[in-house]
Amino acid sequence: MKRCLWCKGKAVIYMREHRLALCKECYPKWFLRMTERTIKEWRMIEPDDKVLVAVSGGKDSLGLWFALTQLGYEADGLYVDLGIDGDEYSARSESFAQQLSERLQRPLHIVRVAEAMGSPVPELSRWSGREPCSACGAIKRYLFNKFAVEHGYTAIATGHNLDDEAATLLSNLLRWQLGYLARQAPTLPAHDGLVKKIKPFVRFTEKQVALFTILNGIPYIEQECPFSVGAASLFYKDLLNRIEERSPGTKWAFYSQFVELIKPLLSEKVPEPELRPCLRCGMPTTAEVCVPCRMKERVQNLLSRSLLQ
Amino acid sequence: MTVRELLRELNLSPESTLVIRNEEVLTEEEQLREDDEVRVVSAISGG
Repeated sequence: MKRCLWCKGKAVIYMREHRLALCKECYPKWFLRMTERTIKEWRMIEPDDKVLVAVSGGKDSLGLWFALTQLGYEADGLYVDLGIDGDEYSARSESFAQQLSERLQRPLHIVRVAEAMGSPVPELSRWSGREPCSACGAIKRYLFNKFAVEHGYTAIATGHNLDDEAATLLSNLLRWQLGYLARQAPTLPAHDGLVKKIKPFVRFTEKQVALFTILNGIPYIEQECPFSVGAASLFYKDLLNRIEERSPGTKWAFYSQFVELIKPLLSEKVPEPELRPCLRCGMPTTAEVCVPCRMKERVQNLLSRSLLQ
Repeated sequence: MTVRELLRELNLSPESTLVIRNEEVLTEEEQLREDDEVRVVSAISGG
């Protein structure tokens, strides 16, 4: 039986990359310490920041909201209701977010895509001709930023973990997406109407986050989004985990060395695209009208035409 | 069999899976008995 390195109790996890076994009492303490260290190292939260956590009802975002409050940050939640009906996915996700909001005694704001955009995500995706995950990502990023700007939040915290970031890095590298690569970082500073984005869980694997969430008795939606079946990110995560099994620490080395050594070089060579206010909604965009507003208009046009016929 | 062997049999990566028995999270070298009931939690999510 593995023993906890700190107190010699029965271990619940052995992290080969850290050569560290911890028990169920010591692990959450280690996890919070590492979270705080990451926040400080990447200057994620300054004393006058107002933090908004993008809460999905999954283990990462709920664990993050809990961790931030445990560390003394007064973070509020924002749940974006995507309107995904399959297995009541959105309704169930929302109820998990509500449960944690009540436990933490922190407000949970809710924005419904069907109200904000005229239609829920599956319809916006179908009628705008965009892949569901691409449409959903664009809409979520847009609504989070818009809400933060309109309500005075200065940092948007997301539950992205090391597996998410390493898989995104691998995917962008395989296609040499220099523009995306130049902007992949644990902290993206605010600029031109975009609120600062922070990823305080970037140091943890998905398993480590799941364990923290479970040990703290936080119920979360285990079911996958029905649209994520066959997602490329799942394949990349699996590949990276196979490498990690043979060579512990590789995922972190891959990601952290990129951020420290390669990204600064890229940022010099690949300038940020110029942003200007969208003519319709005023949110920052590289085009005249932002992608979400174009999606919304396209769907509205299609709907009004089909009603006339 | 151990937790590690169980995961190998199920073709699941120990890097992304938690095995829970009676509310207790188990490490990979923990021994399982024939009549043990365990919950296997996949930590991987897409999107």
